Amino acid sequence: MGRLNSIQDLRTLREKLKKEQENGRPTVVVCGGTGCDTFGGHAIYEALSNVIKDKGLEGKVSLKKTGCQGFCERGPLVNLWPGNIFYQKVREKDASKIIDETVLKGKVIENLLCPDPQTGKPVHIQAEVPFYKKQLRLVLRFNGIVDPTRIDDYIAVGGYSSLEKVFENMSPEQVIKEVADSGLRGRGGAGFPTGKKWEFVRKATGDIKYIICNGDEGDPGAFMDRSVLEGNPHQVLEGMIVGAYAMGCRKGYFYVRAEYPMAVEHVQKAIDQARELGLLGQDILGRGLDLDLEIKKGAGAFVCGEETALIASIEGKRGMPRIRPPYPAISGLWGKPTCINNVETLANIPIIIEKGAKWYSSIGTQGSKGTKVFALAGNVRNTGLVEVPMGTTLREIIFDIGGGIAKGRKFKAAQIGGPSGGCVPEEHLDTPIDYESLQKVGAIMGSGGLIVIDDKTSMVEIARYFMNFVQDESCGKCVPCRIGTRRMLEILNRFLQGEGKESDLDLLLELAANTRETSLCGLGQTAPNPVLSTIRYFRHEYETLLKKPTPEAAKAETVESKEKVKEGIEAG
Amino acid sequence: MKKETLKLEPNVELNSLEKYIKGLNHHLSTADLIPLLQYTQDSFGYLPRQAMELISKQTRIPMSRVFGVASFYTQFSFVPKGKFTIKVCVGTACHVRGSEKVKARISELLGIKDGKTTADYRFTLELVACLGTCALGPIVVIGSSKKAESCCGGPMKQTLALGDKFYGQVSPEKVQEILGRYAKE
Ligand SMILES: Cc1cc2nc3c(=O)[nH]c(=O)nc-3n(C[C@H](O)[C@H](O)[C@H](O)COP(=O)(O)O)c2cc1C
Ligand code: FES
Repeated sequence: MGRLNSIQDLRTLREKLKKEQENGRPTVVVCGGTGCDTFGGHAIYEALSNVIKDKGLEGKVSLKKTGCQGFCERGPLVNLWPGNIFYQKVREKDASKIIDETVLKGKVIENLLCPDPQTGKPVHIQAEVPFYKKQLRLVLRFNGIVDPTRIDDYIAVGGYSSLEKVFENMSPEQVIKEVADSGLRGRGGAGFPTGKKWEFVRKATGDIKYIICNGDEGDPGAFMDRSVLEGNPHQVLEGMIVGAYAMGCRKGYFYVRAEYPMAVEHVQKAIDQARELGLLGQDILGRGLDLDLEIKKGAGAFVCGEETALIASIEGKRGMPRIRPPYPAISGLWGKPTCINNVETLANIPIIIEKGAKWYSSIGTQGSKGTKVFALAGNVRNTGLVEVPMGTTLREIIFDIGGGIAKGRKFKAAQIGGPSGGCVPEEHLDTPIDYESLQKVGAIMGSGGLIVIDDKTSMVEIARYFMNFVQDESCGKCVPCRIGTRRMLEILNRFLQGEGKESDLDLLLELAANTRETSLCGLGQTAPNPVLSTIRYFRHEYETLLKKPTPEAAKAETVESKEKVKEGIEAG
Repeated sequence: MKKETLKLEPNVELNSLEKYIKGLNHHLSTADLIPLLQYTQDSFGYLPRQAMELISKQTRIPMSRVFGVASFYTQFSFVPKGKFTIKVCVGTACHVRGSEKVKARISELLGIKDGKTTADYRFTLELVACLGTCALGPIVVIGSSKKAESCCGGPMKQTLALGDKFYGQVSPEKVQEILGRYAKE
C-alpha cells in the first residue's frame, strides 16, 4: 500500500478494503481491552487461532482482536458475526466448541450467553443485552468492531472520511463554525465550548501553532480515555487532523499517561500507519496541510492533566501549573498558540463533521450536546464503559445499565467527577446528566468517572480518601492548595479517630471556602468539593463521629479505617 | 513527598545510555529531559546519579534542574527496585472494593511497607492511584521493573511495561497464591 496523494486515492482505497471485508466470512471477535486481557482474553485469542489452524479453516473464518467493548465485568467477551452473537465469561476450553458449534453449525452455546438479570433468560444478541440497550455509542462506535492496530480496518468502516468532506467542501472557518454549532463542550472536565477554543487559536498570531491531545486521565476511577486510545486511536487522530486544518496547527502531541502502556503502543502504531499512508506528514492528501504528531509519555503526576502543567511537562520542566491568562490558546507550548483538547472531545469531531452539527445537536439537553462516556465502577453490578446521551439520569445509568448495587446491598451515593467532584445521594438520582444540573447538586461532570458507593462505606472516609489524594498530588506551588489540603486532611483524620471537636465542622467549611477561592489551578480550586458535598448530604455521619463512642460511631469507625488513619499520619 | 536517595552509589555501566543519546541524532533540548530520564529509569530500574550527571552534561541542563524534575514525578526513583514491582491500585474504584485489605495482606506476607523493597531485592511494593482497569477492582499489577534486556540494545520500543501482568478482583485470600508464582523465577 503506497502513499495516498489525493482524496480520490483515499476513496479508492476504502472501496477496495470494503470489498475485501464483505466476503461473507464468519468473523470471531475477541475483546482485547486490558480488562478482558486480565481474565485471559489473549489466551482465548491464541486458543481460537490454534483451533482455526488445526481445522484448516484459515481463510474461511476470520479472527480479530478489538479494543475494549465496555462490559469488562463479564470478560473475556467474544462476538460472532454475522449475527452479533455475544458470548461472555469465555474460557480457553470453550474455543473449540465455539468454532465447532457456533461458527460451523450455527448453533448458539446457551451457557456462554449473558443472562437477562430480570428474567434470567439468556440474551443472544449484543445489542439486546440490557447493559448495551440504553446506551448510545458514538465515541465508542467502533470499539469492538475495528482492530485498533490496523488502519485498514478503520478506513473500511468509513474512517478518515471527515477529511474528504473538510478538504473538499469546507474552509477552516466553516469547520470551526460547524463544531461551534454542534454545541460540543470539552470532555476534559471544564466543559469549555470547543468551537470557541478553536476560534481563539485560529485567530491567535504565531509562526507555529500546536495541537495537543490530553490523554493524561489521572482521575482515579476513570478509564474512558484509555479505552478510546486503546480501542480506536485513529478516531482521535482524525479529530486532530481536522482540528489542525481548522486552526492552522503544524505540530501536535499526544500526551499519554505512562500507566497506559497499551494506549501508548496503539497510538504509536496509529501514528506510524497514518504517516505511511500520507494522512500525516507533509502535504496531507495533496491538500497542502502539514502535520506531524508525536507521543509524550507522562511521568506520573496527576496535576499534569491541567493544561498549563501539561505544557510545562512537555517542555521538560516540573509539571506545575501557572496563572491563566494568558490562556494556552494565546501563549501555550514554547509560548506559541496551543489548543489542548481531551481525548473524548477530539473523538467526537469526526462524527460531527460526518453527520453535521444539526444532527449532533439534536442529541442531549439544552446546554449539553451529544453523548458522554462514563467509567462505571465501584459497588455496582455491571461495571464497565458506558456511553449515553447527555440528559440521561444517574438512576438510569446505575440501575438500568449498571444493574444496581452489587451483593444485594443498598445504594448510598454516586461519586462523580473524581477528586474534583462530589457525592450525589439517593434523593438526587434523577438528576439528568449535563454540566449545569450536576453542578447544581454539588458534583461536576469531570472527565466521566462514576463510582457507585454502597451503604457499608463511610462517607467521611470517602472525603478523607480524596483529600489524601489531592494532598499528595498538590504540586506545592501555591500556598492555599499545599497547606489547605493538608489541614483539611488532618481534620478529617481527627474525625475518623474519634477526636473531632464541635468546632471542626465549621473550620473545615472555612478552610474549604478559602482553598476553593484562592488556589492557583483547578486542582486546589476543586479539591474541597468531596468534603463540601459529603458535609452537605451526609452531615449526620460527621456528627455521629463527633459524639463520643456510641455504638453507631464505633461501627462507622471500623478498625480498618482506624488503621488507615494511622498509616496516613505516618506516611504524611 | 520526599524521595529516598542512596547513601552509597554503586558504579554503573553507562555505555548503553551514551549510545542511546548518540542514537537520537538531534540537537538535545530541554524537551528531551523527561524522555531521557524515562529511558534511564526503564533501563536501570532507577536513576543512578552517574546517569543523571551524564544526562545533565549532554543536555546542558544543570544537575540541580535534572534532579528537580526527577524528584517531581512519581515515576522516577533514586533507589533500585526489586526484580518484581507489585503495584496495588488504591484508586477510588478499587478502594471502595477493598483494596486496602489486599495491600495489608501483601505487606504482611512480604514484611515490607509500601514504597519499600524486600531485602533480597525480589519485590517492591507500590501503591498507585488507578490503573484504568477500575471495572475489575481491586487491581494488582505485577511486573518486572528492570527491563534492561528488552530495551538497552535496541531503540526503546513502547512495549516496555507490557510485561506487566494484571490481576483483577483480587481478594486478600488470593494474594498468597499470586505471590507464590513469583517466588522462584
Ligand atoms: C488538576 C487537573 C487535572 C486535569 N486532568 C485532566 C485530564 O486528565 N484529562 C483532560 O483531558 N483534562 C484534564 N484537565 C482539564 C485540562 O486542564 C483542560 O481543561 C482540558 O484538557 C481541555 O480539553 P477540553 O476542552 O477538550 O475539555 C485537568 C484539570 C485540572 C485542574
Ligand atoms: S481505581 Fe483501581 S484501576 Fe481504577
